[in-house]
Amino acid sequence: MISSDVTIKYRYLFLIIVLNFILQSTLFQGLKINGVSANYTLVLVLIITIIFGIKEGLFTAIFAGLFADVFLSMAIGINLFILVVISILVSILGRPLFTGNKWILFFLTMISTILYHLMYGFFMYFLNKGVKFELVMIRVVPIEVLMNAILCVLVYNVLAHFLDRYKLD
Amino acid sequence: MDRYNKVKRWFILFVALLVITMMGITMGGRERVTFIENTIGNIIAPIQRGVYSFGDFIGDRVRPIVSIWKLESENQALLKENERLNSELIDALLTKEAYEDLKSLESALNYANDQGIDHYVTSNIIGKDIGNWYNMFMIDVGTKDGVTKYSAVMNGNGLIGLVYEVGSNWAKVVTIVDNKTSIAFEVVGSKETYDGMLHGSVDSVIKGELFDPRAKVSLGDTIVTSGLGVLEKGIHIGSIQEVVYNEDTLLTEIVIKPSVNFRNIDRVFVVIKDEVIND
Repeated sequence: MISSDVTIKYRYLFLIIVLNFILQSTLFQGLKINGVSANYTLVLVLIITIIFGIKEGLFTAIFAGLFADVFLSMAIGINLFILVVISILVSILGRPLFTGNKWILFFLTMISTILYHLMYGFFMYFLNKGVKFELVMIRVVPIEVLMNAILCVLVYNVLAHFLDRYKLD
Repeated sequence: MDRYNKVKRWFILFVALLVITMMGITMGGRERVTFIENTIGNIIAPIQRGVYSFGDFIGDRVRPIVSIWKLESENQALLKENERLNSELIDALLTKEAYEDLKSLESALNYANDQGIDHYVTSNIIGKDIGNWYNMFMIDVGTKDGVTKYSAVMNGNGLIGLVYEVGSNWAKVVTIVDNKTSIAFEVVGSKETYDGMLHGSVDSVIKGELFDPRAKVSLGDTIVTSGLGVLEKGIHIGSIQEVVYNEDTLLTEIVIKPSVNFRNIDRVFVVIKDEVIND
């Protein structure tokens, strides 16, 4: 269980969210493996929820989700809803389990990524958009799951190293 | 405390329903985005343009280095293809019929210019879809430039997609591969011109149906927009890749190979609709 008391000001968090959106939709588009890119927004939400807690996690999920929905999504609310649900689940179920073991974080990210795609497919199906579910699950998800998990562990390592007062039991 | 928890639960349920309703309402794109979305987009779009151009600049320099090991095999393949094409070129005999077909194709493809559809704005792509589900992207032109919902987005190779939502200096574009909006087309490679409707599909393939059940089309015939519906006539879409006769609907169905490589688009132009120009 995490016992850190690190905090972050919401205005800095907002700047990180905007920066993440700009980089993910531009520069990071070049970092694709077999046409699949990591979901940096999901990784950001996971990291913030794990390190800072539910409030900061929800703030990130809401604003990062809104940015993704407004500018690069078929409908507003999809990313917002999914990221909020994942943030809540991680803070309730994942955070107590996380003891600093990188493998737990790795698997947490893998499960979150699969959950993200399952929910996305579900919403798209009911919004009558047409779902290429098998196609995404076979061609995209396996690669994205690994990319997200590796990225999440790397970012967490860097952040945990730089954050003062960040201690684990 | 119990009452507080109960209120909290109802509040969460209400917000969840509100978000789901919002999804339903905004699905399919809106004619105009809200003032807040527009303002944030106006601030972010120029930054994205700068960062995207920088990424392109770096990518153009890094790509040749990364793919240098492929060059030798590519070179060999190209040499072989060159030989084959040369022999095909010598063997080719342009019959009168083929010549007539080519003339009809030429006039169809030049229709846009002949009809004076030269009202378009060029635009850069400034951001691409962050998920891996759809091929959406953002461009740096909007209502200020005359762009409206359903404006056609193309490049030199043909139709890329339609404008989905539009702000004052940015717009969201969804490609024809992912678009469920039907687009009217005509086949111009055949002796006769056949009309039909095409649409993107769940497996990222463009499919279409021909209205004439007796239509005789062949693989490789060219597909252009027919001018019915939201798009102007004569925009190149692609060529026929597969022809299937559907016995249930009694219609000839075709699979279209798009003329645009959707993975490699950086600069596009958006056709401005006549009603906007007349206004």
